[in-house]
Amino acid sequence: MQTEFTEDQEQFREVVARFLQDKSTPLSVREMMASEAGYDKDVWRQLCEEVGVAGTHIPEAFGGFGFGSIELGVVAEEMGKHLYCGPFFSSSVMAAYALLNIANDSSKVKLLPDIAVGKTLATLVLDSLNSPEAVGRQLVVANNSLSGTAAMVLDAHVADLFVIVARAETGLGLYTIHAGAEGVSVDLLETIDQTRKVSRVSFKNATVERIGHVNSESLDRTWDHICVVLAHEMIGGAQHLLETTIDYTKLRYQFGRPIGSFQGLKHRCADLLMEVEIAKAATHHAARCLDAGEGEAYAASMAKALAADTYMKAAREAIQLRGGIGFTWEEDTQLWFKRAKSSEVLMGTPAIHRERMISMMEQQS
Amino acid sequence: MADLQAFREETKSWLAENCPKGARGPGEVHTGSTKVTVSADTQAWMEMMAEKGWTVPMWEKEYGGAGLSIAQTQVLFEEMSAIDARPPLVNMGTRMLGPTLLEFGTEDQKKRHLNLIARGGAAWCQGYSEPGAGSDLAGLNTRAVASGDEFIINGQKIWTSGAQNADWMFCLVRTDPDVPKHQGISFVLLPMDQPGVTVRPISLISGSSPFCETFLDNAVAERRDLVGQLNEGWSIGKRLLQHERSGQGGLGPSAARSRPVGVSVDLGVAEVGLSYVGVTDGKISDPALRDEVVQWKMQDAAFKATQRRAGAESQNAKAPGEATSIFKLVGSTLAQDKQELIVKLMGNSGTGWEGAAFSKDEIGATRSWLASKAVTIYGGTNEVQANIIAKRVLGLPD
Amino acid sequence: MSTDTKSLTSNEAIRAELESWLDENWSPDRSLLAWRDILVDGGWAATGWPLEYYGRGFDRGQVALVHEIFREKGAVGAASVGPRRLASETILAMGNDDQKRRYLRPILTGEHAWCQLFSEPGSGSDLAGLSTKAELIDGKWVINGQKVWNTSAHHADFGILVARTNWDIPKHQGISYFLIDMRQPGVEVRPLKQMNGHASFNEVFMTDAIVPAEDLVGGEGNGWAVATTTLSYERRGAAPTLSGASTSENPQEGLVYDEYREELKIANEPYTWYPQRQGRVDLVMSRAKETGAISDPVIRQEMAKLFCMSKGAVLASQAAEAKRKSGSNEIVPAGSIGKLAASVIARQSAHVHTMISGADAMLSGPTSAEEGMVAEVLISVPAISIAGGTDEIQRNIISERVLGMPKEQRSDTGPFRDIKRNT
Repeated sequence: MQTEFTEDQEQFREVVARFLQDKSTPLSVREMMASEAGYDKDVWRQLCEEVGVAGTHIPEAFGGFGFGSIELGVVAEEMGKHLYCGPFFSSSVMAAYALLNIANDSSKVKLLPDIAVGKTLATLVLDSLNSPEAVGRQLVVANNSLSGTAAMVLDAHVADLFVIVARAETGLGLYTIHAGAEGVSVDLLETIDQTRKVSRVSFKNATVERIGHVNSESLDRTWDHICVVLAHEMIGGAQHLLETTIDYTKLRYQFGRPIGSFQGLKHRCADLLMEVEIAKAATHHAARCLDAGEGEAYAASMAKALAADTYMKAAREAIQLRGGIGFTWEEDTQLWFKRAKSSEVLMGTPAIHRERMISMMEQQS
Repeated sequence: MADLQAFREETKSWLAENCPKGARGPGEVHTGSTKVTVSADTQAWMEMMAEKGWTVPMWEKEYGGAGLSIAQTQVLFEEMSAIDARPPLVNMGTRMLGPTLLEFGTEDQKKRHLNLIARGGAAWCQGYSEPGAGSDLAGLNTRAVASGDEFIINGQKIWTSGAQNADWMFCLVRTDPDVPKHQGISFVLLPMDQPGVTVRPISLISGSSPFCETFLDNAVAERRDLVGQLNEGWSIGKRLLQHERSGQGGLGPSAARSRPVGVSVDLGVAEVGLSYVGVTDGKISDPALRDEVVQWKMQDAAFKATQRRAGAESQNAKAPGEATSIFKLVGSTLAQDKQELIVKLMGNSGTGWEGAAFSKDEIGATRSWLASKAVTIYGGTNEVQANIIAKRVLGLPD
Repeated sequence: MSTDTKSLTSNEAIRAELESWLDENWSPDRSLLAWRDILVDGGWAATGWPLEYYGRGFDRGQVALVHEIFREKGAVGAASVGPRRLASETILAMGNDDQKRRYLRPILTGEHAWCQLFSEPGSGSDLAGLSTKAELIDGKWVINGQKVWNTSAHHADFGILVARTNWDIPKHQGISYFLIDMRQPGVEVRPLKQMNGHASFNEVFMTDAIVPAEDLVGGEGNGWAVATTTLSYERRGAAPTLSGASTSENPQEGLVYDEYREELKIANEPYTWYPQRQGRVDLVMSRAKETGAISDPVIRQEMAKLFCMSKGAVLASQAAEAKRKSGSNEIVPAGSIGKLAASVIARQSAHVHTMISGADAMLSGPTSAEEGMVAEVLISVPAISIAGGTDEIQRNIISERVLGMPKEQRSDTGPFRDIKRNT
């Protein structure tokens, strides 16, 4: 298995990073947070056309670039660093992975090409964002008629297409419906992390199209893929917080010296670096496991748990080490802090993933 | 002992008779501000208590108190809490400036300011931190120049909580920039309602603005409102901080109910756990979360027991000592941990900001969680407290 | 190092030459010393060393191949266990020809055992604050002072020693590096028993101990640079430059094996508890199953945290190694981060072992859990964050050298004589 990034991958990272550095500044992030849509259409179009992020991992047969989890991770990591606000995670990651792992071939051919170029904004509707085992309790389909509520759906307020996991008599199935169809209602929620817009989506006898059968294996696999991308986003954010915090401690003077010269602060920064390095290694490893097809589930849960805990810790330390300025609205640290929290609970808390790890180990040994 | 029992009976019946319904249970507390309107019951309760000197029961009568002993004060607080009476008046005057003036103020200062504080006639704010002087408070830069009977003050203060509603500010200013930093600081009192004082609220990550920036542009303090000697304000300022820290740690009934700044909803961790995680056999369903709840509750109980013990031990001492830093450090950490735990217990419901999808408590919990990030910073960061503890309590070398 | 030899020697050629040499020379019936004399003369004892000194200038891959062939043949290699490696690598890098000629060969043959005389009771984390005194009297260095934490000093023939030769200049500049004969009246070695009952270390007292002038390494006052060389070998861990099987499993019969096993037993004795101080993560799952603790959700969470950290740390060190190999400019503090992580892992593992064992965690000895290994974990783990540079020192290194944070203000930059120190 690959243990380092190739030159091509590093160059790709450079391209993504440079783009986001220009287009996803803290100022623009704040604008997006305050806006209803939550993203800048032009920037999204450029990201898709110039950088091609939306189709990174989608096979060429379905209109994408055919790269793997490693390259997709590179995109997500940079997005996490720059706190990119847009439909990348909901459409390119969540919905596309559900289609790739679950949908029948004709639906893939039909739906993925437009998602791969960012033309269609899709989102994945799950009635639980906690664990795959809890999916399928609220959304029920009978005779292609869907009813029930998904409490939290990412970017549903701007999505064109809903990709839904729901329970039918024959078991869980994958369904689609277009936004604005009859029987679909979307309520945008106010949540702490406005960099990631979340809605409640209710269905009342909405006519859906069945495009695949969901078994626990394909749902788990989808879940793992999403978690690993999310973990990349989180380590990118943690890395950003670590770097900016170190910079701050070098510039801020108290007691006639930079506060970064105090051992009490230095030691905490060293501990934080250790945790960030470990979470990064575990996350990169998880992407490689997915691409190599070995030990993916365990590696994905480990990456999600470690990245989430590390991101939160970095966010807490970033505020504390900045002192008063750290918890003001004006200071940008709060933006990452809030993203850290929403990422921590999205797709399973660290505790849920740790439990999943131990269950797997228990069965193995 | 018999006297004390008589005092208890007397107090009990007076309280039963006079404490209005609207001053019992959770609710607003009078801050003494002339700029804030409170409910009739809150106002009446404060006035009646002030009449008896019970807003500041231990202060001497001539300064607006009742001259009660520690034991009597304890009885008063116990009886108040028995009927769930709220503190009649809580502000920086009663908790911080008052005790400091009692120790260092001139007779004139005590007469003027303490009486005003005791009868709820002025709210105070604290002009300490500056943008460039936070943890290193003694590095402050706000200049005060003596001119006749006045000091002319120029500079900027930050984190002045409640400044927008305050009537007065106690302020640390630099009166001599040419000597080592601790030796050129003075402690002055100045009115907020004057042209040279501008207050601007600071928005926090929780969306609320309990703190302000205060700009001093040729602001004026009277010479007679210099507390202590010129250039000797540092030790007075520090003493006041000890009163602040002991208050934040929650000594005495006035602080017992006071929450960290910005923490709007005070939910119980066990209750949140039971209602959000679920109940199995009368216990929080998830054993790992249950374990975390119990760990927090144990810490909290141990902390409160320690506070009580310290309170009993310090009854003979006149003012709180450096050990108050321990209460600040532990108390603020526990408060922060609590909010963190509550949001965790709520899961996805703990990420609400506004809107009908989340309950009032849920949104309150989220905001309190964000606000609680400040408690380990304001009033001296945990790092500064740890330094003080290491140096002053443990006697470790610099 | 001779690059010509290296590039001209293919793996196939090495294998052919060594296999035929071993077929001709290897025999388990010789004494260990007799065999190693042949080994050294044949040039196969330390193939990573230069040609002039018993080696062949092989690179890491070639040395690993040699190692592999020795293992295949079941042949015993050069003596390599214990602190002797620190001595030989330092002498090789910083010693003069005379010193190399006199000391390297007996190290390879196992004739001489070595110990390291660095730390002192008064200077642990601050090694450069050492105060063992070396004075040049009548052409000989006279040593007075005390050392501590000296692994295997009670078996050692020689020691690598740092001592102060000048008290009037800044502390790093007044240190010199010596090779000292341990078998002399002025050197007294006393074992130091640890809280876990093992005695892996010694204290060494030197009272008018003598070092001949020719055993000063790197010149007077250059001891710090030489010591840094030793320490970097120590932190890096043993890169294989020697050859031969160093594992203790040699079921074969023969005099050479008997003597080799004895050598390993003595040399490895101080390290038998080292796996325990790292927490024995490997025992956690089986212990949890065996005791039923696996069904406790709280313990499961703690176990998972432990496995996340231990697996994550391995992955992080692999990533650092890959980065180092690719010649990245990024500073990767693999050593210090790995060491910090090891402490976190060991403590968490001890915590989990305690939760799993419950009250049984009070028991020790061969009849307790895992033949006493769990008990040994619980009382050995505190050592991991101290030995080989405390965690606090690692954090200083990481924050200053990697994160570029400003240095702590120092009060020990003047002449050593004026620095406040332990008395």
